[in-house]
Amino acid sequence: MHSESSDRDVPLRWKTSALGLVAALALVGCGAAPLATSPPRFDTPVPASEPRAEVHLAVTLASVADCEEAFDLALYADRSVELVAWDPPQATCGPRTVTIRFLAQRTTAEKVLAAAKKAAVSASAAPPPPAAPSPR
Amino acid sequence: MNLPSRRSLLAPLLVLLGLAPAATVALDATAQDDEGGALSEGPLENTPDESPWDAQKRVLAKLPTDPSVLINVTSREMPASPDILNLGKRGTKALARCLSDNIDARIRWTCAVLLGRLGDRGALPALQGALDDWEASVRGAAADALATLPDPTSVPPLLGMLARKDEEPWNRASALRALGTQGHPKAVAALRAELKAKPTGPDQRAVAFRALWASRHMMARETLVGDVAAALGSGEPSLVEAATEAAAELRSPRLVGALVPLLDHENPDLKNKAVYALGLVGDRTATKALLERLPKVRDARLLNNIAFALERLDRKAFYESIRAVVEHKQAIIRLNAAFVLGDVKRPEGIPLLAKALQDPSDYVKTSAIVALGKVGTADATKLLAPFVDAPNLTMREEAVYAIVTQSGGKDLSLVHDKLFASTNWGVKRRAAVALGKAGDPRVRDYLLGCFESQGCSVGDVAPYARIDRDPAVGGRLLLAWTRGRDELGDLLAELRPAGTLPLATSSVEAALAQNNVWGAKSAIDLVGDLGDTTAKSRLERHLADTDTWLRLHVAVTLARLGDTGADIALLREMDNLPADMLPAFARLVERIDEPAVRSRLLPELERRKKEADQDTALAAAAIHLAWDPEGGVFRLLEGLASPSPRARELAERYLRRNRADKVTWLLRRALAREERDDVRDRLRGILDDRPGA
Repeated sequence: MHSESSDRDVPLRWKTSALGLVAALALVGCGAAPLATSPPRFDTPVPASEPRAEVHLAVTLASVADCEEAFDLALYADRSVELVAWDPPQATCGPRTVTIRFLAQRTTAEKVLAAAKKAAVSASAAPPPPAAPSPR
Repeated sequence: MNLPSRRSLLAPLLVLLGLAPAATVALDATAQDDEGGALSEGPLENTPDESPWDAQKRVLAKLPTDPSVLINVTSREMPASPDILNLGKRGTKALARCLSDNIDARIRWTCAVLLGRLGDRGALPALQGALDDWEASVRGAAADALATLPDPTSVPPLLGMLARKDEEPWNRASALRALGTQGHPKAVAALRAELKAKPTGPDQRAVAFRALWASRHMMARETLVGDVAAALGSGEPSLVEAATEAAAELRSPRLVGALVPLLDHENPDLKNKAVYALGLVGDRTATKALLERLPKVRDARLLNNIAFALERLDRKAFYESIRAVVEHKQAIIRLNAAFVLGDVKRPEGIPLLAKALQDPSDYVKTSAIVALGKVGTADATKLLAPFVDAPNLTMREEAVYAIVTQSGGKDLSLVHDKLFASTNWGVKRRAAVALGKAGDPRVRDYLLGCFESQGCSVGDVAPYARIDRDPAVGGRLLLAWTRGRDELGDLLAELRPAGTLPLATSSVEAALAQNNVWGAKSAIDLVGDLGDTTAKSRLERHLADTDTWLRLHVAVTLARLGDTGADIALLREMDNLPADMLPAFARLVERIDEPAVRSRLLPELERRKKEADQDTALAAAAIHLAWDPEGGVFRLLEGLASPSPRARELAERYLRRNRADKVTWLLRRALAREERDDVRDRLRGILDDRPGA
């Protein structure tokens, strides 16, 4: 049941937002920190200057169709994970190794490992993969 | 017999009288043309003894600089379409004048089609004007061309074309399609109106729906879902089919009610698409309807689709129901049930597949072996050990590959002993390719012979050739290349067997001397791959060749050889190329793998990525994506979210065609972080089509 008519709400909302705007402008004018903005609704580039680190893991994924993709999607939900690179790429869910690059100022190798354990049947630190052959 | 009244004869008579002066002028012009006289004032300068070939060459030469050159040409003097396209956008002005002013409808039609392929916005006024052309085919070609050149100014004339009562149905369809690419609210409104209107002539609601679908990002999600639901219930088969495909992408639970009745549709294709869509929607309210149909299915594709849908909707119910199908009295149904259990890859299927291994039918057993291989766990493959000695060759083969794959491909002795030793050609060949990938020298002669006799592809032999660096391997491949196996170019560039360089440069010379442009391109690419700078002087003169693709291959090779002048030529070509050639151009430039050359070109590509011309901008982004996926992907993701439907389609096309693993990983990252419905749907679709999905 509606208790209020919408006619009254409109000017009230206007007043509230106008007051908010004045307050915000006043804050910015006084040199306050910028207002918090909502995170972007899509993937965005990270400056090259931001430090990165990598962690190498041995993982076993749940035996389901799209197992690799499901793992990736779970890890990428955290924006501090930059790249999940499978080594070597193959379409199996069984024991595999993966290199995960992350933004070192925003997360840690331990947190990435914890997220991997949550998304896989098992995950543990592994030695780095052999260097790729140099391009011709 | 009724004779026409005097009044009914009067109107045509007046029209004829009105046209009389024009007819006189036309006859006069024809007469003068025959004499080689008065028309010389125009662009043709025709002479009686000039052959059509010479006339076409003369017109072609003037085309980039004389906008009026095509006004008076006839089909005799009109240059061939590929020759005009070779001029690129330099031909736009002449083609636009041709479309407005040439009196021959066939030539105007050709000009409209070519303007569409060029994609030059300078042609917009002429194309918009041609929507009122006297000739229906020209109006249709103009509308089709405008579909490739979205612009707000095209919307009113396209709406006008759609509104004409006397327009041909196929032209109305062209107008609808063109409206769908404009990305304009008025176009969307018109398409929705067409979709909702009761057809008075030929039913074009399916065309309107597909056009609207191209602009789906402009609609509120709820409105879009409502339109799809209405289309699903329309009863018009092609509209229902289009809506079913759309439902699979939207995955809205609101569509389940409209999809379920389609499970009993008479059209098997539509029925399958409805089941597939229900599986993707993932709403459990569809479970009962699917479960009811599962035991009655008599079609393998439908069985697979229902099983996949059920596996997503209600896994427990699926495994309970599939048990009855695995034990069905008909072997063909048991075979398909086993296949489905393999494709869902879940360990819950192992006990059912173990039972299928005891089936009296070898076909069912083989299907179960393949399925256990797909499940891929140690438990699954353990069941296959007895089958590596099965008398049935297919069973033996599938069991061996499943076991080897599960072990990570470390021990291939089973493949050699049980399969390569076979006398069956197909089994032996597959085994040789598998062993070749591991560099097993025992298959060298077989693999090379198989390639030489065209039984194996370059992809089959390349992994082996990369491992076995014996000169004899590269030598035999080089010999095959000289015998016309052009597809070996990239592999030879990698292996560089002795003698490749002189053979490649001689091949360029020979091919160009024989006017064998196709052979020349392959050899030019190889010279570029090999980095032979001595070839520069011999290639430079071909930068001015009339064949666009020869010029481009030469420019890419010269750029790779360090010629900065070729960089400029290459970028100039990019700016001038017909829009529909840009995807192939991007593919060619992607070959450049020299870091120094990429560094030289990248700033220019970055500049083009920001251009308003979406064809050029996205081609530049596609090249960048190939060179550096992490740097290039964002411009294409931006394209995927563009206000322009055409930009979205182009970006999707470029992302789909790049099959690099790294691009797959980046697309997964984009999907995980994407919150805009339409972009999410497109990313989902692109990923579903990639290896490993």
